[in-house]
Amino acid sequence: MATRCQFENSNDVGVFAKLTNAYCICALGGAENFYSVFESELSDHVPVIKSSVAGTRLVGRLTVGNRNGLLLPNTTSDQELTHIRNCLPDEVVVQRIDERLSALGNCIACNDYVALIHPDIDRETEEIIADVLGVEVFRQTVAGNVLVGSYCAFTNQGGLVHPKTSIEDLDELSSLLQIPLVAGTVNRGSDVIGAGLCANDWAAFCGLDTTSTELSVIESVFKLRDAQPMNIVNDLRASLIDTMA
Amino acid sequence: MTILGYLFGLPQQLFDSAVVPGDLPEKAPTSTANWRESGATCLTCGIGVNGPGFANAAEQRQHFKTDWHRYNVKRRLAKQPPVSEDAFEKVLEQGTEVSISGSGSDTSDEEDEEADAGEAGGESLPRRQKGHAQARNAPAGNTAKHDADGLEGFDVVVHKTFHRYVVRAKAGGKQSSKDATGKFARSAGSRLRRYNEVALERDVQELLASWADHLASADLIFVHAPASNARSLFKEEQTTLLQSNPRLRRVPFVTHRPTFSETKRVLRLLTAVFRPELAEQLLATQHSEHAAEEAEAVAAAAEALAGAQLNTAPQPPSQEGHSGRPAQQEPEEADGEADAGPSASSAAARQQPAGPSEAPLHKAAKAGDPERVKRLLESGHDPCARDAKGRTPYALAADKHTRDAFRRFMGQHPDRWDYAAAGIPSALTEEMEAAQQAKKAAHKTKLKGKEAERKPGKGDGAGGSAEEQRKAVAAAAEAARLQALDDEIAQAAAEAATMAARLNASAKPSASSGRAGGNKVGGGAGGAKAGKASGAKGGAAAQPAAAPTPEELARRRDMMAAAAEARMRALTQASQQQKLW
Repeated sequence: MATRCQFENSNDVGVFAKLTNAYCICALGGAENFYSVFESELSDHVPVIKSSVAGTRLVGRLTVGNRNGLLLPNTTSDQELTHIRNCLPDEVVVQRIDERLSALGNCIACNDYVALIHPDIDRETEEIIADVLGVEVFRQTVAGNVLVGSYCAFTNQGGLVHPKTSIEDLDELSSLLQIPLVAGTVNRGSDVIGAGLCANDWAAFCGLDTTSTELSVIESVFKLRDAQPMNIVNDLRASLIDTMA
Repeated sequence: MTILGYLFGLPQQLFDSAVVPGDLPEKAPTSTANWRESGATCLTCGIGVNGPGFANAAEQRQHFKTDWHRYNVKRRLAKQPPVSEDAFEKVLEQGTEVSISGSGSDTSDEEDEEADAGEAGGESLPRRQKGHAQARNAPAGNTAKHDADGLEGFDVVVHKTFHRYVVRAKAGGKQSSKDATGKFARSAGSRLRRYNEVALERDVQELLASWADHLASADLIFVHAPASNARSLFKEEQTTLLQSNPRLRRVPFVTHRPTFSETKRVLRLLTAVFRPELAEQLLATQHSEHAAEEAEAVAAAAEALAGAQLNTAPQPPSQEGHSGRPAQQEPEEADGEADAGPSASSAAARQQPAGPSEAPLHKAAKAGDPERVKRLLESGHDPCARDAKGRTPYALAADKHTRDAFRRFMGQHPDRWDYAAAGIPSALTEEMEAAQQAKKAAHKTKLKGKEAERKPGKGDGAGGSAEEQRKAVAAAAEAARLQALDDEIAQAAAEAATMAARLNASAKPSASSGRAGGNKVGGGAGGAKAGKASGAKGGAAAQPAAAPTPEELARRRDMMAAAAEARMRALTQASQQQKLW
């Protein structure tokens, strides 16, 4: 199910949390609310940890990871690295990388099998991404934006991309990633999908501003309701007719 | 609950655009008609736009990993049309700077160079050998492999870049040097760095050992390794690279971050010949001739010169640098114009885009080089010329000395140019300068005189008396305050005495008449003493006098006396403090 939450009055939950199929990292905040939302949804299945990255709370935007590993920017301090290493499961490889574009979350979007990266990322970094995260790496843009991590979010089930992505680009991307993609928005029309939303294969969190239309698109494309996209419309129609009758 | 949650109907089309992954592999190979719908395209490279797309997903994925695709991604971002595969091959062959990954051309960040050992040598002239080893302090624990892209006129035999995390983030410096200060950190990071330092050293040693053959066959070996790195490079057991090796040369100029491209630049500089008189000649001709033509001519001259130098090879190129010729002092000229080999013409061509707007006079003025400005002006450069932003050289001048160079020239040649158009406000002749100097000197002596006057005047002048006066006033105020305090103490003592007397008086009626006289005497004595304001004694004196009276009265009197005493003590203490203060 998709859950709506807020981080200290900010709707950009994807900025302050990193959610994957194997772990979840939340920002250290003044209030415990944000963390408890994640903990109540996820703690039965994956570890939910609190950490800062490079002394900031922008955990989601600075890091990139999936079931296999986690990459941290070179600004991460040794203490943070050790803390994260200690808290995450042993099979998750945590590595700090020396990349000029240090907001890895903005420059890289990935699921457990493929990753889209910023066209300017170092070749060395590309190799590390492929090795540590165990993914196929493609240099690509999303609707003409180089910040692929900011403008799209995808899991193994499906993905949401920038609303201005053309149909052709969408087809090409979904063929490349081998997952269904939908162009859409979060947080009442925000086009920064990656920042407004974090999702894995069975849960998603988005800002409190997200409309129910947006929420239903998210739930259907990420397959969070054990349902095919078509079923939503059918269900809805059935229920409407039910109430009218 | 679900009914309430999803009251909004979603249009059918929305989900039509969603592609189910299972469909693709079957659909793509069969449907030859509409590639665009299947998504088996690469719109960046124009595959599947008009012609056929990819046969299957694997082919498409393969394509997305090619350099051609990466190149086109960059072109698309720059809003340029995509190039075909053949065109891309040609671009590669031409060897123009194709930066497909981000690592090729980043010169922005400056990191400490660690060790850079290169060798240049060879039997035949155009085919030179070039090897290079680099170690770099950067927070990453992997080995970098850079592609060997073309170095014009040279064959890269072997090269290697190491990349290890040894520098302390934010604090800077190596972990070993931090440890040497006596503070031995036990953090995870420090351990990593310690390990990496050892590993880096080992890597370099192993590499040098494996390069023994290359190093043995080299005519010259150029090494750039600052202090602490040199130690690890020239270890005792290291036989291939001994400090005493007669072929060993150091790189005689500043180098940047140790990358392969930097090594190439260093090699280019080392093999280039710079002749100052040639540069002079070039500058002299530059303003009259067409820029491109003369750059080519000079490049050709430099090439010929370099050829001659290398053919005869009377001395190793590194000694060119050692002999103190200004190869590095004027890097722009050395880089662009005295570039040897076939790279020279391309270097000249590369210089073109930035060239025409930046005239030499502008450059010299901007650099704040009055000597060069003077020379250029005398060789006939136009100070009225404007750069791309419409600024004259004078407007660009970095400091006063440079501006003075312009003004001096104006003084010497008052009619040569329209100085108003050049923005030079006034001429500066030698007489004027001398006058200015004299004025300055006079001002200085005047200031000195004033200073000298002020110093002795401080001791005995009017200021001194004012200070004394102030001191006196302060002392008087202090005395007055002390006096007031003393008065207060006396008053308190008197009060205590009167209180004691009153008590004595009240005790009289209740006490026996026979003892009253004695009591009276005691009280009177106490009162008299208190009247003399002799301090605590006044209060104390009342005590023995009260002793023979009944017990409760004695107690009350005791209490009163104690209170009075305490108050007096506090007051005297305060007065003492005041005095101290």
